[in-house]
Order: sequence, then structure tokens, then C-alpha cells
Amino acid sequence: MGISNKEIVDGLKAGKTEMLRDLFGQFNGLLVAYAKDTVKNPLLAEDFVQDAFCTLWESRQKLNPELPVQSYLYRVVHSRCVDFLRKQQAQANYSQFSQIRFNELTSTHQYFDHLIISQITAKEANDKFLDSIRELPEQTREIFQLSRNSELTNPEIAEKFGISVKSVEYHITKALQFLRKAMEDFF
Amino acid sequence: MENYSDIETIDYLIGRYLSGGCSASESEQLITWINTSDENRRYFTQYKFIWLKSGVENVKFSGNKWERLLIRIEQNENKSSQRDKDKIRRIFRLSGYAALILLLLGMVSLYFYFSKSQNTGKQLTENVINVPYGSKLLLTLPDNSKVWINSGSRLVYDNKFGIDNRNIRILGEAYFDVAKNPDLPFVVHAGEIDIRALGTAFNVKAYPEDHKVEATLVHGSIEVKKQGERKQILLKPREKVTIINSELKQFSIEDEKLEPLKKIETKGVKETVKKLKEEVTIDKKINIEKETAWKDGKLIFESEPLESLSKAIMRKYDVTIEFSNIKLKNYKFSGTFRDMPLEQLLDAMKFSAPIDYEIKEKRILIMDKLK
Repeated sequence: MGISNKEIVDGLKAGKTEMLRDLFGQFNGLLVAYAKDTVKNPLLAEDFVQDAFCTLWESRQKLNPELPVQSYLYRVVHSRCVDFLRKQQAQANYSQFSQIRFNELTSTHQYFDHLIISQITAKEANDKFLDSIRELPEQTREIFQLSRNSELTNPEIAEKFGISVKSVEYHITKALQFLRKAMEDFF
Repeated sequence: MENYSDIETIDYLIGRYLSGGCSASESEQLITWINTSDENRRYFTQYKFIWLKSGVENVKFSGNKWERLLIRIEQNENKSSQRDKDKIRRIFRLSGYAALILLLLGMVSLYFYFSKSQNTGKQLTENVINVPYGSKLLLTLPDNSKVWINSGSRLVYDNKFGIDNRNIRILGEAYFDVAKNPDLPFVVHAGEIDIRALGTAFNVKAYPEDHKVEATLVHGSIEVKKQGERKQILLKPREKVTIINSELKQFSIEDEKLEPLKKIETKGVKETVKKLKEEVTIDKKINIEKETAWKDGKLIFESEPLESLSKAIMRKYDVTIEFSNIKLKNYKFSGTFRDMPLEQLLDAMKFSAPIDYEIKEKRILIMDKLK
């Protein structure tokens, strides 16, 4: 991306909505995926992210040009998710899994923030990522995409393909391994 | 990757964790492993990043969501600037002929604007009363008629009201208790429908998103007719006329402050509705209490589908309601609610209907009750 963070911040301060639109196009999807994975509620997840963009816009005059804007967005979403999990734990519908997700979220937070800031979100990384998905063996790719895009559970996918749940998990792991290796230069 | 001699093992555990295949104890085991070292933490986070990135919808740019964000930003900005503008508007000539009583929380804006009639160039002052969602208003008009205005409604009359004419335009819902004056007929314009009264009480409901106009007569008599047509319907007390697919245009006022009233989406439906045939029905022996309950802060439903019921709640409480399952929209619900906090109302509904709900600020998601 040819545009520096300072230029983005200056643009936002000047009231340029195009700047916000570009950021939205680039980060909305990933942030929603992050929140959705945490709160397991698509509506709420989107709300958190919309909130983050709103807050960014409303406090644009106070933005620190040293802090990448995407990190600002991510931190708002992260703290909404953490608050949500905390609240969930305080309530009756406390589940062990929400405690686990909470622990996971807080321990990966710092490094995730780093990834959001790094060039892994830039265009070249994105192209590389899409190319790599295409390079996956056919069945692995099909299963992986079904899992990621249709939100089918592993047993559902297993049934669809007439294979065991274990094999579905195997294909998913294979795909993740392959993609992580392919993106290693960007991490 | 200490404690795991075989990298395959931890990758497999991560793969299963991310795709939801791990038991609680396996998950805990993984979290412990993650927290063992920074290296592990980094390793797992990379996997998580890949997992999330591959879950991003393939659509390059979702214009819809972007639009929603813009609307939200606009609404937030309006909220802060509204306060200043309202102060200025209040100073206008409120005195003399309009007495306002604010019934509920929320801001009601009353203001005057000038519109030049294109033919004569003569200036006409119009009074616009805007009652936002979550509010309700009782107003005494210059002719001493009383009008209760429901949430999300707009009422317009000019400065000759009570002198030359008694014409009122409405978008939304209002209950009129008309003062007797045989010389000046009282006429309510709701879209293309005119409701003419002498001394009487009636309720008019004409929200644009409902695509219909309803008039219910409480006492006295009213005439209902379409503009430019001679045929008219004479209503008797306790009768209700419903004109479905009647076109309700937003008033052409170039003041964007009036924008929030369009909040309930009408997009998409509009085009097809225009071509639909108007249908007129008359119901007799209407339950007047039910029709006009809103003015006393009550909501009464008699086997009302959740979809239309939710519209009433959205207006009264200034919230948006979404359904996780389309089938729920048709579920019929009966019940009476007095003025009560929204959550109490939803809890009461949850008790007798197979639904559950979630509130996030001003958005409510109605979903199936978990077994």
C-alpha cells in the first residue's frame, strides 16, 4: 500500500469519508471474522465492528498518527469482545468455552495486534493468500472452503462427503498448515 | 513447541480447536500450551490469523454494510447537533396558539419553515411537528382540537389553520379529537386519502412503511375519500376503513432533519407496491380501546403477527428489531402491555411465545427459544 498511516490519519481528520471507506473495505471482513469467532453471534459481531468504525470516525481529530488506524479498530473490537465474554461469564449462561475463548483471546491479543499492523494485511499478502488457497489439493480445498464459507460443522461436512469427522479435521489441519507455510514471509 | 515432540500433533490440535472439534479439556490443554512460551503464542496466532482470513467473505466490498455504517455515523452526528438546533427552534413563536405537553422522554421538534408557492410566489408558513421514535405528543391545535401524535410521526399545518382552513397533513399515526366548527371542515390528508370531519374523534394510521391508511372512528362521523375522486366512504362509530397499497409519499421538505423518520426500511418494496391495486376494506365493531391504546401508552395485540407487532415496538421504544428466523415473523401473538420498560415487555412475550431475544444497545434480535 502506497499510502502511509499519517496520510490516512490526515485524510480522516480532513473529513474524507473515502479514507474511511477504504479502511472499511480492507478491514471490515477480517474484524468481523475475529469478533464472530469470539462471540459466536454474527449480528453482535458486526455490531462491534460497526461500532469500532463509528468510534474511529467520531474521534478522528484525536487520532495519534503514530498508531496504525487498523490497530485502533482492532483494539476497539477486541475490547468489545473481551467485555462480552466477561459479561457472559458473570451471568448464568456461563460456559467453560467462554472462559476458554477469553483466555485464548487475552493471550493472543498482543501478537494479533502485531499481525494486523504488519504488512500481512496489504495487497501482496492478500494476493498470495488467495493464490495459495487455489494451490491446495482439490478435496482439501473443498472441505476447507466448506468449513470456512458455509459455516458447516465438521460432522456435517463429514456426512456430506461420506468420510469420518477425523478425516475432515485432517483436511482442515492440512489446509491451515499449507497456508501458514505459504504466508511465512509475511508473518 | 516444547512438550510436543511431534509438530503434527499440535497442528492437529489447533486445527480441531479452530474448527470447533475440541472438547473443553482438550481446549484447555491447548491454551496451556499456548501460554507456555512466546514462540507458542506466536505460532498459534498465525494459525488463528489464517483461519480468520480464510473465513472472510469473498465479496470484495459489501456496499450494504458500508451504507449501514454511514447511516449510523449520520445518526450519531445528528444526535449531537440536534440538541443545539432544537434550542434555536424552540425560541420560535411557540406562543399563543399551540400548547405542547411532552408525554414521554425524547425530543420533539416543532418548527416553522417557509415554502414559496411556485404559482403565486406568496409566502406560506407551515408548522411541522416531528415526533421521533420513542416519543409521543399531545397537542392542542389553534382551533382547540386536540391531537395525540404517535412515535415516528410528522404533522404539518399552515399558519392559516383555524382561520381559513383546518387542513392537516400526516405521516404516521395520530388520534384527533376535533372541536366543533360547522363552517370549517377539519380535513386530514394522509397521502392521497382525505379524511373529512366536523365534530368528532378518530384515529388515523398512515406510516409509509405499512403501505396503507387506516381510519377508525370513535364517535361522530367522518368521510373518507381519495383525492380527485368523488366516491366517498362514510364511517359510522366503531368502524374502521383500511386502504391497502395507498401511496404515502414523504412530504417534500428539503430539511434533512426530517430524515430519521425514514428509519424503518421501505426500500425495495416500494417499486412493487406502486403497481399493486388499492384495496379498500371496512371493518365494523372495531375494538376502539385497542386501536387507540397507544395514546395511553398501552400496546394491545390480538393475534397479531410478530412482524407487525415488532413495528409498533420499534416505534414506541425507538429500537430496531430483527428476526433470526423468517418463520417467526408470522407467529401470532396476543397480549396487552401497559407502559413498561422494553426488557420487561420482551420478557413477558418470551414467556408465552416460543421466542428468545438478545438486546444490543438499540438492536434486538428475536430468535427461536432454545429447547
